[in-house]
Amino acid sequence: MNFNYRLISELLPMFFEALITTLKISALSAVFAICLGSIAASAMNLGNRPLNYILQAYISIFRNSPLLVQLFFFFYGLTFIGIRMSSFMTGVMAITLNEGAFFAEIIRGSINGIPKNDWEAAESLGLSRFLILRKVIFPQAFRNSIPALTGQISLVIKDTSLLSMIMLVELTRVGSMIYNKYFDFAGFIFAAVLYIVIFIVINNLSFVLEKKYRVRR
Amino acid sequence: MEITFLDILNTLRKGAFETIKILPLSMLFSLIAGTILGAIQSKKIPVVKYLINAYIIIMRGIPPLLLMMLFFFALNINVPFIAAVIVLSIYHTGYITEIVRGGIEAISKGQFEAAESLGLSNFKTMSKVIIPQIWYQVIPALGGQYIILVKDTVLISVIGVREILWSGRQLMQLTYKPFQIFFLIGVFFYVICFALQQITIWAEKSLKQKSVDSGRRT
Repeated sequence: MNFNYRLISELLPMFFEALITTLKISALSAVFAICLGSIAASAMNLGNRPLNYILQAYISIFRNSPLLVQLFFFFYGLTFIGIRMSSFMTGVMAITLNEGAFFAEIIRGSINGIPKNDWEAAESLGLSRFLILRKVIFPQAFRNSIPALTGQISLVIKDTSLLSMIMLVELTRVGSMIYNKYFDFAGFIFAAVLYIVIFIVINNLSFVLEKKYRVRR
Repeated sequence: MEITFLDILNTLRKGAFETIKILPLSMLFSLIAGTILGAIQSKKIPVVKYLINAYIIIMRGIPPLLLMMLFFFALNINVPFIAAVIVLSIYHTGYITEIVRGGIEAISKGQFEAAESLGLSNFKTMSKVIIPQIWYQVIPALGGQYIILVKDTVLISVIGVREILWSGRQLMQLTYKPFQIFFLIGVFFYVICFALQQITIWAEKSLKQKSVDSGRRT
């Protein structure tokens, strides 16, 4: 096993482009998924029973089946019924729906962790249930869930590697393209190093965020 | 030849058996390796500590798909099945090590001191006293990790193991019925994950009973 530095340095622009794609997908789907998760988790606390069942079904279905299956389901399924979407959009959509369920579960957990007193205090001020959630409960819950959220974001980045299966050129795909062309697995190793660097950056960022936005009681 | 719904089910069933064969093997190996590494990690041996930490960070950083390709192509393992079990085990060992280490650190200092005062060796302290006690703490996280493992098994179709998603994609090319095929695969995984969840809850309950009986502070 010897590492082919020459090949990597020649293909560096390709890696750079792929890295940008990976980061773009991760950022987009993480933001969308956090929004989706927040909305779903808050809606579960509105006390509307049919809505709760629907959301529970959504969360359990998307959490309990593999992302790759969902990805293929959307990728092949949407073209089957005549909706044409780029693999970029399909990927963002699948990851958003999948991770949204995880984010919803995280945020729901921290909403449940907010003491009952806060609900009662806000109620005594005459706020409606929706306003209580939006102004009092959710901001605290969101801050409390930052450590878990950043952990989940690092999983979102790993999930983007699956998009190589629907022909999107991102880091993993570049690795396997190099392998197919030059029969050299240096591309995989370099891609792996890039992923690890991203992970370490996110991990350290999470410590900073956690310290900055801790709820003091 | 028309491919009926029954044919799809039959083909998928063959794939499902392959998936089910891989699951217990990788679960077992990752649990064993994770427990050993976790026990070593909780001792905080100077150099080993950094090595295991690096291992954990690498496993948490690399996507399983990339790891799978890296192992399969770089190490030239000819049997996809074995490569799949190895990669799944190695990948999840990283996480389970962290889980077990957390469990060991949650055990009170008194247990270690009591074992030491009985003159037990380091190994015996771990294997006879500490490890049997961690399961109650560890079970929920372990169950969650196993569910992720179940979902990661679809990735082994990339290296040519004929598991359920691989059969699904072959069927796709023949029949072009994406909704039926991927829905059925989704249902298969949903059932396994749901069963695992229930088992986790049941195990946690029964272990709680045990740990209360032995007079342990919870």
